Amino acid sequence: MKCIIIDDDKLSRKTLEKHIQNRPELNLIGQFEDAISALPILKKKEVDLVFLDVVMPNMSGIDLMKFLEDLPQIIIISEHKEYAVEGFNFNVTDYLTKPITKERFSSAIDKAFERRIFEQVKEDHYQSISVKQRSGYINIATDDILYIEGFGDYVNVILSEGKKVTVLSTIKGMEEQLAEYNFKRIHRSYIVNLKKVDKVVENDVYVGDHVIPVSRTYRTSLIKLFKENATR
Amino acid sequence: MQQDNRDNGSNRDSMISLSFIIRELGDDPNVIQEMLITFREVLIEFDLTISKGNEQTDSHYLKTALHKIKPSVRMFNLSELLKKIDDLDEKLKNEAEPIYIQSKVSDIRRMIPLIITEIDHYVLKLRQ
Repeated sequence: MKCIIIDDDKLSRKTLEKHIQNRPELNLIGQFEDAISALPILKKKEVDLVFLDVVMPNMSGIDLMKFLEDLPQIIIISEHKEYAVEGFNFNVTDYLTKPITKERFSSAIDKAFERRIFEQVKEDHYQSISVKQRSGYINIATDDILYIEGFGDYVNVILSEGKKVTVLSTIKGMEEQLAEYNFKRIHRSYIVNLKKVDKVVENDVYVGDHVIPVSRTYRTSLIKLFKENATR
Repeated sequence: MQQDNRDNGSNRDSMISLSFIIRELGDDPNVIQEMLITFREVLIEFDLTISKGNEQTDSHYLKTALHKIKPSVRMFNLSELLKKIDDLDEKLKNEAEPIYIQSKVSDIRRMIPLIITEIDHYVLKLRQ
């Protein structure tokens, strides 16, 4: 887990650094004595966990949490217990009072790992869809889908590693079900997973070894989305 | 005066206690040394800060400095210094006359060189 420390108290930073060194699963990638200096690394979203002091000059820890739209996990560190309540409004992982003890530090880190596992499970759950087959319902991870081919009242969902699943749905039904994910209808009979598209050439989309036709109606919007997807 | 700290490298007359550091971070002499050196730097900065706050009679500045240093002072169990810090904090809260504030700041500042000397002594001992 990649972590950083933001604290203007030098001894507190040093103490945290030593505690972190005793937990090999943590990787300290930066230390900052003010919140503003930490903004570039936080905006890159490469940090999993922040040890954040509250009272700091120029920008307080609370101001930093208000400023960032997408927060990594935060463990608040402060001398002032009253900030704990405000911190929990930002859904922080834990709160440590200074000077930080080994026991409290370990307990906070355990919470951070538990939360990470929970969030990963939640994310996996949200990125799957439930589809109907003759035998009942199954879940398919959206990330496994390459494209969908429609045949009237049923569709074939083409998955990675050469797998194929036949689903009782129309192409329109699948389009609606996949609307919140990164999929795009490209033809009367086809929907593609934009994450899997390698290239668009003329009126064809290349997804691995598969070549799928694009209709004129969808071509312009597909190219626009394909470009946007590449910059993400 | 602090408790007997002979087990952790100090003695009966010392102000500084290394008990917290050893209990929480281990007894590696390099780590203890690093912590002491960092604390030394913190104390020097603190001394400058309260001196400046005092000159400018800026009570907010002083209060912030006091709150910042408290955890470090607790870490080394410097109870006498902590008491002086609390006294000054109290005076600031009660908006005492500048003369009382100045006197309390001076009390604190007088202790700092003594603590730094003790830190230097420990660091030297750890290096030997």
